[in-house]
Amino acid sequence: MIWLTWRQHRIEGMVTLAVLAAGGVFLLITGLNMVNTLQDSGLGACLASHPADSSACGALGTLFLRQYGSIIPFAAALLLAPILLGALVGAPLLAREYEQRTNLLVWMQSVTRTRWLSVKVALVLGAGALVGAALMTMLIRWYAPFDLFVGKFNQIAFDFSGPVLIASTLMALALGLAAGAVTRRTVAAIFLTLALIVGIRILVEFNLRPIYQPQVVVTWPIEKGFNDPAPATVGKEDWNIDSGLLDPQGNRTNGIHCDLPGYTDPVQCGKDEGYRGHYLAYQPADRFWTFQWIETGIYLAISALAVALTFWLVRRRLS
Amino acid sequence: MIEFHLDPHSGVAPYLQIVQQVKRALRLGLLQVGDQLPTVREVIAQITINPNTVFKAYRELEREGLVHSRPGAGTFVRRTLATTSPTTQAELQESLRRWLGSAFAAGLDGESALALFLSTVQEFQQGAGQEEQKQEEPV
Amino acid sequence: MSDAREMNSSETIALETTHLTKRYGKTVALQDCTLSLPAGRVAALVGPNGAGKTTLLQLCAGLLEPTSGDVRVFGHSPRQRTTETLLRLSFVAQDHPLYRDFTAADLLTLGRHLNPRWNDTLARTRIQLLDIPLNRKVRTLSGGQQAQVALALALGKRPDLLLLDEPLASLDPLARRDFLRTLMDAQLETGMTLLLSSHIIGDLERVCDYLIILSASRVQLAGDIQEITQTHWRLIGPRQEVEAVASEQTIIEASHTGRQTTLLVRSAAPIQEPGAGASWAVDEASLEDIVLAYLGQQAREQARGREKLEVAR
Repeated sequence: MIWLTWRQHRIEGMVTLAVLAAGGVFLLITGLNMVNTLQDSGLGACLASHPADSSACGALGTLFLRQYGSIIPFAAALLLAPILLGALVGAPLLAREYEQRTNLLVWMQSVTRTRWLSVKVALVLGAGALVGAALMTMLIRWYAPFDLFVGKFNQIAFDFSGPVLIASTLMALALGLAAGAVTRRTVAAIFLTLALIVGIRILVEFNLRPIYQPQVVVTWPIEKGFNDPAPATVGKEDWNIDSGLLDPQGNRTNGIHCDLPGYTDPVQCGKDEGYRGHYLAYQPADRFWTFQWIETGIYLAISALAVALTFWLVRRRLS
Repeated sequence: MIEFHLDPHSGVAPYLQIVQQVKRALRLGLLQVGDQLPTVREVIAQITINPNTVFKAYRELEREGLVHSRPGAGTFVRRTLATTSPTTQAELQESLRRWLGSAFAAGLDGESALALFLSTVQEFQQGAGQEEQKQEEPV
Repeated sequence: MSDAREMNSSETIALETTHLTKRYGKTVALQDCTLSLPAGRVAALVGPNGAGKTTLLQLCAGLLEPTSGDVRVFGHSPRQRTTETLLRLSFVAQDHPLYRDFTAADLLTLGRHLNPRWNDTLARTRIQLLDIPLNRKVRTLSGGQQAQVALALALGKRPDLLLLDEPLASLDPLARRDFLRTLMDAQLETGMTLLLSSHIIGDLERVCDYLIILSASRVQLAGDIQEITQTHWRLIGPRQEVEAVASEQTIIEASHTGRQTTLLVRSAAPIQEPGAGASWAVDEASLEDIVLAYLGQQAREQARGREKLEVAR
């Protein structure tokens, strides 16, 4: 059964390894460059001597970001790998079997459907976990310079700076398997998988992640104006989620919408309209790992559901 | 080695066709005593047929005492049906050929000649008062 | 003939179904099928498309779960995939699906890895004897060669019961002959029980000794071919309506032309004239006539929507 799984999916396996290797080489080369620049420009030493206040190294930092900022999207592209893995490896796994009716061949060999599926699922998810772990390790190492002055508690770095990446890879694969078992057609399964992965991750990352624990919201009166600094300091290790104004109803908004006539000063207009003040919402740094494990749990729970559904469907239906 | 053929539309059961073909070969002297019949495997390779059918045919032939099967060795002819020597057969066949020549010259076709021949055989046998032999339908 | 009956008393039953029914929601795929196929037979499952042949075969292979009723292969349920049954049972689905990117050698390895009771030499030799290359991807082989590979795979498992769903349907006449030849050779070697389905009886007549007629999701007739041909008669006589028949006879089909009536009758005993004073020509019915009569019967009844004639079992 192990042989069969490998023989059937060896091409997908090798392509995944190749992509992972290529990504690894890219990260390695650019990463080494960054580390060297960090040393040579003195930015590293500067940041080391000002651990709490990275703005002291502002000029050097800006230079660094200007030089390497453009490759961040390429590294971020590697974060697409788990999604593609789910859609292009996970989805066709079962879908093709049904589409080509080879399930009628393999289920008549002396192996139960449950055993057949168990081995496949275990091997594919196991491989997925390894891919996720490898990717996570590579990206964390590569990101280290940025971590020095931006931290890892932000929307992009959070995705790969912990077990969340492994869990999201597993979820992508599990959703792919389930989609294949539901649609039993390869193209439909791929699209369904993509829709599910993207939909779930958008929901989790933009709607749920900011509120795993209640946000810390700091408000200050509107008279303080727009250019005064906030009364609370949000460090680089905290997750600066959002800031702006609270309208008369208490809703978050970007600016003052002046409805009353005859005002030239927006601040005064806002005060008279009843705007409640400025706000700053963030999650403190010490919650990073809690958040990682909560999100990991969410993705793993979805994976488990998807796998359970897959087993139920495969055992119930013939074609 | 005798070669079998199967006529799926003759209305005769497959195993009987094999029996008939063996008997015919015996009558014509194509199979002699001691000759080996094709193995079941060889028959299947010749004509695509159910092995059981061949077994059945050979069993029937054995029941009639015409063949004898030796386990592990094969099935062998035990008794011939040819009542005359090959030379006599050849002579008879020659006179039959001459008769057919005349029949066709007289304007008969194959089927009419056959019908004439069959009715004559029947008459002859009844007239001679001989014990009716079992007749097989000509193929 | 006494031969068939001599065997019956000590025969194992390879496949037995009891009131087997399969429903998908409101659709009935198979209705109340009761069969008993003795071991060692080569059985033909005949019926029009949509009659339920594939459903019946898949139920017997244990791929489907019955809605009600029972199916037993050598006494055990084929759904118990871990017992003996799965090891003794093989099924070749319609159009003989294979992993198209595998080579024949890969498929043999698959068989070896997944079947404890696997005879690799047997399967490999069969493929080689047919001059089928072992190291080319299966999708580059011809349809006939693919069918032979699928058959070799099924045979490598050394099954005692081999089920084949329309194995000849996609093959040209030469490939058909070769396939049947391989099948007969394998049957000779192992004495296994075969059940093949087709919607054309002509393909199977020469190789089968048992017949199952399936039409409109029901078994219309099942039995030894020899017994069937010996108990079905074709009667031709002057045109008349035949209502009453002797009690041990059943009219399967009656057809009329301007001057003549043809009856297909099932009768255990030698035939008697059904109508008083009529003179009938009596002949043994051919297998094709019998199959058509039973299939036509169902079609006629469906068309007219009246109660079935008594179907003798």
